[in-house]
Amino acid sequence: MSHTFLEQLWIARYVILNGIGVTVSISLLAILAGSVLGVLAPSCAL
Amino acid sequence: MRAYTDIIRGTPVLVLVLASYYVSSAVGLDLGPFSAGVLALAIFCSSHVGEIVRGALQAIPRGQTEAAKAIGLTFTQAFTSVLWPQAMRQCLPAWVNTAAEMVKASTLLSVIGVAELLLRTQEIISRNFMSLQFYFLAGALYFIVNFGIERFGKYVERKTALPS
Repeated sequence: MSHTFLEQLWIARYVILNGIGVTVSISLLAILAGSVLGVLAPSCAL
Repeated sequence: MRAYTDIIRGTPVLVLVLASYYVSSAVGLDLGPFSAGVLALAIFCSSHVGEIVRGALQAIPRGQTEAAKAIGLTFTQAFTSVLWPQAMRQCLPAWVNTAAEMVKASTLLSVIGVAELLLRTQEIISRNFMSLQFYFLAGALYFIVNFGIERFGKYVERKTALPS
């Protein structure tokens, strides 16, 4: 039985969505924490 | 501050990721892969944002700080009302670049077992061997996330721009 890409995509939809969720949450947390630290450090040096 | 920025900016992100994961467990902190990954990326991001903010603050004429002091503003008031609004406009485009870099750097967290999009894609490919199609899909999804960040940055730039 041959599986097309769309069939495979449908089967793996939750796995991909989970991956996107983890990627977005890690990126957001890193950007937020990094920005807070990055803004505070030079400001304290003023 | 300067040494911290220089050291972190000169270190590859992959080294930071591996160090935050293995060093934290070696000193008994025992961060999980997710927390260690966030810590590594946050450290990397902070060094870049620190440089961007430092450059933007230095670009503000010294007279602005002196004028704020002259009218009796405290440091916090001068920073939030005078310096930061001017610095933010200058550092916003570079900050958006750094944010997009963080999304791309998150792919490196697959080496410590964080189940992010790239690792999930590789798992799917190992089951169906459709590598080309699923890697293209992953690339498209990363593009969409970064495009969203870029549009958000443009929106904030428009909102904070001085009226011409």
